[in-house]
Amino acid sequence: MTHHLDDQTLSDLLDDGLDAATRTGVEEHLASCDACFSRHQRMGMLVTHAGALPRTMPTPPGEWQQIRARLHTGGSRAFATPWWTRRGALLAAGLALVIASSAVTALVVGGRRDGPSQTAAIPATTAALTPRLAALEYEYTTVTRDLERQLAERKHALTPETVAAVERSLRTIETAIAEARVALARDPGSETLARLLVAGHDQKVELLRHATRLATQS
Amino acid sequence: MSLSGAIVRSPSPPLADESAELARRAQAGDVAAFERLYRTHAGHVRAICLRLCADGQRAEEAAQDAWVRAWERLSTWRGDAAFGTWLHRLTVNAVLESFRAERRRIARVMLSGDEEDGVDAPISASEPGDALDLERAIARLPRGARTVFVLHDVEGYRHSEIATMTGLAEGTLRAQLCRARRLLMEMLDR
Ligand SMILES: [Zn+2]
Repeated sequence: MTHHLDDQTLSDLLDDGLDAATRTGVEEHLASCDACFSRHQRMGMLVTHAGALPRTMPTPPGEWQQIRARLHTGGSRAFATPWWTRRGALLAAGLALVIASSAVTALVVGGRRDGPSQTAAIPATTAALTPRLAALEYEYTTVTRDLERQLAERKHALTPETVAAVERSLRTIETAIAEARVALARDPGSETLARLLVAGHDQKVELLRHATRLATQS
Repeated sequence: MSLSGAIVRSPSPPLADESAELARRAQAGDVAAFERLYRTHAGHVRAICLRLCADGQRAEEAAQDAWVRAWERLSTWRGDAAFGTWLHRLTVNAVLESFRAERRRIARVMLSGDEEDGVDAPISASEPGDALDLERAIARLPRGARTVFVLHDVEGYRHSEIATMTGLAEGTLRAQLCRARRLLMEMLDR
């Protein structure tokens, strides 16, 4: 392939939207072209970051009261209790969400920038971040170690240029992970840093998977 | 699918079970149960509305409309899908319908097209790659591209699901998604 890959092709590749023959050609090109490989990596990083954005955002104050006033309930059922007595229920719901939902959600659900957060008020949320993050990191490490082992076994199937490109990208990602980890040690409550750390691990997994797949097909 | 995809999007059974039980009580007219559903899911509904609308006031209206509609249509939730899944889809549909209604209501070019709403607006300078920047950049996408990007890359809907929700052909949808990704990379690179 003499031409560089266009964005539509790279975008479709990320979504698994190419037929097998096209995909093989595209992956061969990626293995030999640093420019396209790096653009593909950047697009993949963007998608990873988008997927790691917080699933929840703080709601505007008084929203429920406004919704409640619009509900037709077949009778005028005024609130039995004043709003402040229900605050406990609100916090409990927020806390349940933090505990029960996914690790990443738990990492990011507290402390948003555009208003007071329901869950940010719960000290337990912040306290729970570090062990959760540690557990998540452990999961990632297990997966990447496995992929690294697979890649090491099949590395000989790749061209030296591809191996060099993969190793270069890996070093970049590992540096980013290490920096995020150091920064988190200083600021364990930072959701941005937690997200960056997770995104870094994610990127590493994607890169290793991609390289392993290339090696398997070669 | 990436590992984080699996981690981020897997529903948590205890929460889902609790929501299902609350939804059944709400179907029977229990407003307190509905309020608890609100407390559990309002943050995600808010996030969907804010990212799709890219406007606080509109997002607020959209979220309220979605919740009122959820109450009115609770009987259509059969329990075969998780309540959250049902609610989020209903929310997306409510927002998309408000877009369509707006296009019908307001003939002004400013709001009817896809090219106008701020692709060229300056992005505030802060650290590249920072999540805040990504949120701001998403908000500056043209509406069509933003809708597809938020639904696919942020919310994790499949192409076929988005095609059903938006009425877009899959080819158009893939083009919009690519356009969104390209514009975002450009904006985040500045
Ligand atoms: Zn190329």
